[in-house]
Amino acid sequence: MKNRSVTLLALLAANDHLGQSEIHRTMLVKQAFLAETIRPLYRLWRQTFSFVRYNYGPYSEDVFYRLDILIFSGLVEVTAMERHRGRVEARYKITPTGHTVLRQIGSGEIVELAHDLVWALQTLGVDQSGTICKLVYQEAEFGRIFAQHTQAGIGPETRISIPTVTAANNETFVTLATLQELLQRQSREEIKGKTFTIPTKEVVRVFLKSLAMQVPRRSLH
Amino acid sequence: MSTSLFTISGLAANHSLIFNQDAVGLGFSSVGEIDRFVFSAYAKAIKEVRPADRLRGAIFVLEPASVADALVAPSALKPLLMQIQAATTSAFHSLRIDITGGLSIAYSCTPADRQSLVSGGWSMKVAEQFSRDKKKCVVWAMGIGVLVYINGDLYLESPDVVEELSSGLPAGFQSLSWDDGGIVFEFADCNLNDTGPVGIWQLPDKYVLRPKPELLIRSRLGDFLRYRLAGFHHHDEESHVENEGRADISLHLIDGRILIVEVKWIGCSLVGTRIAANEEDIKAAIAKKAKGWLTTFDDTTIASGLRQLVRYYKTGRFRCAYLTVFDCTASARMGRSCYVPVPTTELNGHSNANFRILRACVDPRPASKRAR
Repeated sequence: MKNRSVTLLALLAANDHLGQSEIHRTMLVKQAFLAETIRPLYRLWRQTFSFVRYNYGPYSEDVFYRLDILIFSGLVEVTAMERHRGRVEARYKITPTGHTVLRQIGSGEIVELAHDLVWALQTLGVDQSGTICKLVYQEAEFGRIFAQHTQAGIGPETRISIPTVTAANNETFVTLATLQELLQRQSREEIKGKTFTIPTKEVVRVFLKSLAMQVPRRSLH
Repeated sequence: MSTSLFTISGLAANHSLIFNQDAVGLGFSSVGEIDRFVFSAYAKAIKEVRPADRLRGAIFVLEPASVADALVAPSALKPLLMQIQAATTSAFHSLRIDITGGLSIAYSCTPADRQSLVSGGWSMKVAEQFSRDKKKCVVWAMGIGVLVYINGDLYLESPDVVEELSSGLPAGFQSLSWDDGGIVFEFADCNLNDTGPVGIWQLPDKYVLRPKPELLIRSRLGDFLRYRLAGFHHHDEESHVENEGRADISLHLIDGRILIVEVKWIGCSLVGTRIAANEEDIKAAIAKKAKGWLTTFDDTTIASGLRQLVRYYKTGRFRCAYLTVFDCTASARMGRSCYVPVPTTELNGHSNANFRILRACVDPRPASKRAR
């Protein structure tokens, strides 16, 4: 199974494990975008999904393609689906087979990343599509592209690639690296003689919090 | 960089670093578990509790979940919060994040303790001291706000967990969250039913409003927000919008948001020139359906109100625009206040995520009649 499918399966499994068994498709796409953004923290250097700026938000056709394959394979099920004002509103859920397959694959880093991401979103109370959108709009590279396009009058229907997080001088990459270094260095200095490390999920939480602080209303509702 | 290094280092150096070790020492997997409980479980549970029943100066001890990552469902937490409030003055309860084992009594208050009560609730100082003495994670809850102490140190201070205001002065127990405009439902339900001489009703039993009800509602809404809204900074009535006219209310919140609120009403009001008419004359005019006595607005006011709101919104000064429609018709007493879907075709290309239409039902009948 490709990394992309595993990432989606891991995200759905993490949501299920943390009490949100069904997940809206917009929420899933944005979670996949954030997962792609924070992957350097888990030393995952291969790009999973490539995202474009389309209809305001980060979007990837590939997410839905992979999702379809997972559904046809019986690893994911569609729990609700309807067309609402020309848009597809759907909710997805991982099946017991999906859980089993994910355990068998044993992609530890991806599973850990997905778990930490969903957990960190919950610490901010982000559990709806509208709220996660506000968060991802603050991601540095996406925000920069969005501002440039708005200024240049490029419409929301135009699809334009968002640079991968590992690209040279990517601001989010710098932020993540700085955060991790700050947390680990200071914890080493503070607690002399004791083995004490800040868990990576705390780094993810602080990163998301830094995004949330840039939303004029910090509220993510 | 869009995120300043100062912000990042501040975030990294303060909470996670200082409190994570203490939280782990108390059995939490990390300090973020406490945020997760507050913003994902407590916030949703307290939103479902009626304002008058919310915790008021209550203290409880928060314990880690018995199983890693487990979190209580808001619906299961709600009855426990009611129990905590009911026993505020007699005991401090303890509950796990996943509520395994339900509530247990962490401390039974003595008559001497109760001398510290203020208006039937504990002060935050008591929570702080209790947390320090017992070396516990202690939550002090007041309405929609919470303070969380870890080993006596203030870890989290949120005056509004529903809107997630990150910091500021704690709100009072009667503070309400903006809750995406949902506060106006409470306003319609418990403020606009005032049938006294300063209320909006001319003849409540006939569902006739006083002349110019829009002005009266706007003024009362402004006062209501000033005293009840958590995170209120100030508001401007009749706020001038360049080249467009005057918006009913522009609301400024402490987190920098500026919202625009357009007030409309549906129903029947006495015309201004008949303000001196006595009750019998008005009733006679209603019976005869006489012209020149009453002004009536129906559902079409929603569409015109929205168009007006879009014109204000396009100036770019406001984060979100709210059309609040107060249904003062006789049928409103059977109705339920709700959000009305926003017709995207009327928005001139603006995102409908920034618009809300709220239809709030107003029932002027006294509580004794409504209860029947």
